[in-house]
Amino acid sequence: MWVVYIFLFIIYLGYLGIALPAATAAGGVVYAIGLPIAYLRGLGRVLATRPRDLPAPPRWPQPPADGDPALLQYFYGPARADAEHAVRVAYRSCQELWEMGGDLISDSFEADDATWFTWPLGVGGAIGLAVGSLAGGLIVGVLAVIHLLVVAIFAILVRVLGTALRVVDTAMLRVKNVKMVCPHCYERVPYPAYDCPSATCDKRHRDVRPGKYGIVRRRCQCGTPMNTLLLLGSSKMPAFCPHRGCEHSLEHRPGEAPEIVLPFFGATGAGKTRLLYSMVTQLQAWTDKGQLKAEFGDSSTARELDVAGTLMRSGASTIGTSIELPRASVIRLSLKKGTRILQLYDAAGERFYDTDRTEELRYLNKARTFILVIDPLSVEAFWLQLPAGIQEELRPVRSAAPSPDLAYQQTHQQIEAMGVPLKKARLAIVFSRSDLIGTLDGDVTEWARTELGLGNLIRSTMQNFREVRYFRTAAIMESDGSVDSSIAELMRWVMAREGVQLPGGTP
Amino acid sequence: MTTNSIEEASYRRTRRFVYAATLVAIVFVLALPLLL
Repeated sequence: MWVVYIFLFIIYLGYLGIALPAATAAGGVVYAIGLPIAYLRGLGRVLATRPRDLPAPPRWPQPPADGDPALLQYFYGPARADAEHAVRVAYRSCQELWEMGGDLISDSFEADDATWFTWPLGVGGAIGLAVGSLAGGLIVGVLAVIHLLVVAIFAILVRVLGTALRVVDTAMLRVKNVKMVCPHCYERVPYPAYDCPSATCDKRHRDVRPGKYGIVRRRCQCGTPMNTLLLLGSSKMPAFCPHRGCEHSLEHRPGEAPEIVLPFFGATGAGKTRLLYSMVTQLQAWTDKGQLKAEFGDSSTARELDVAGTLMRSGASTIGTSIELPRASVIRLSLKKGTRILQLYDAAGERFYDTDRTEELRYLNKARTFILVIDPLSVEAFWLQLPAGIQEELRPVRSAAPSPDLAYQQTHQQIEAMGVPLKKARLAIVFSRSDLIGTLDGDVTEWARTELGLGNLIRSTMQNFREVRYFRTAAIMESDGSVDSSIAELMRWVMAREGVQLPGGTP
Repeated sequence: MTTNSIEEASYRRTRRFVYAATLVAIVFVLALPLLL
């Protein structure tokens, strides 16, 4: 009988010799391969399939409270959160795998009559689970590092691309000489703010440029995509001044074309508004002839200047300009050689008599060409030279403003105080009412010096500005409906230095 | 559409792209010893 026991014991030992290593190998293989598969499955669930039963991520990046109402760009937070989420989901899958193995191992010791047969499988499986988990864990670590590296590389590439696009966009604006100015608050606009283009969303984005909300495009919180750069067509969206406290609409599509800031200054009643109207009428005349295309840049300008032509034709006087801070009249000028946005600032003459009021005209330091308007009739020395009959005739239209020197000196000091390099600036001195005081043969400068007695003013302007030119203009319409040629001459000089060739040749 | 569903829609393509790129990178790393 004992021979049989010895025989059975030997067979059992043989079984142990096979079952233990086999269970160990099987357990090792299952966990060494199972854990990486569980990780990849978890990664796939988080990144690709996104099933409904996917648990919520442990952490999700929140956009800054004072930031734009846009979704974060994927590589500015969500990618990292997804990586963490994938590890959690994978770990849960691994836990299920371990629990399954643990159950099998514990079952192997509780198999009633068959325990003698199953325990070696349990022991082998446990050893295999431990060794396989170690190997699988190492592989999972390598896979996780590869995933994180991929995310990191893309995150770097995205940032580099964003910076490159910003640089290219800024360079393009520089090359095109586009410097944006808000016609309402006179501040430089580094980049316009934009409203979401969706008709059902009114969210405003202060800085759409490539960054944490998107590189080529961003997505508003409402889901609408938006272009991030002027280069990529962001100017087609409704633009606004980005400065807090202003935020006015910038209907003239800033950023598309260079802006020319053109301030008119001079004493009350000098004829600034009339000059502005005549310039607008001249632009309209050129537009009608198809020589260029001038259009009002925004609805506010259209409301104010739509009557310019009618008023010029009627010969009626303009209404005195309000003492309030002016809003620029914006005109989009499309020519064969490109487009320009003209910002014409016509402030009331009273603003040029004292420092406090002139200081508020912060658009002055954005301009490089200035237009000083002088009513020759307001110059006492000239007025006294006129025959009594003509004086009587012109008295109703004569400006009762102080000497033009005051407005000039005041404004000149202010422009200088604002840091404008006057040696790079140009000044057009416009003597209005040429139609009333007759045509002049000869040099306007000499006439102003001798007849008007403005020698000091002329000397001062020539010393201070890089270039000064004197004009005598008649802001009237001829019998054939055309604007007096003096207006076109002035405009050609003003615009030529801005790189714009207006019809009629070079001044 | 909730913000969550907008985010899901917005990130869908990028996530899949990252997943595909990760799988390609893993295959490349696994094949590296063979290539070398």
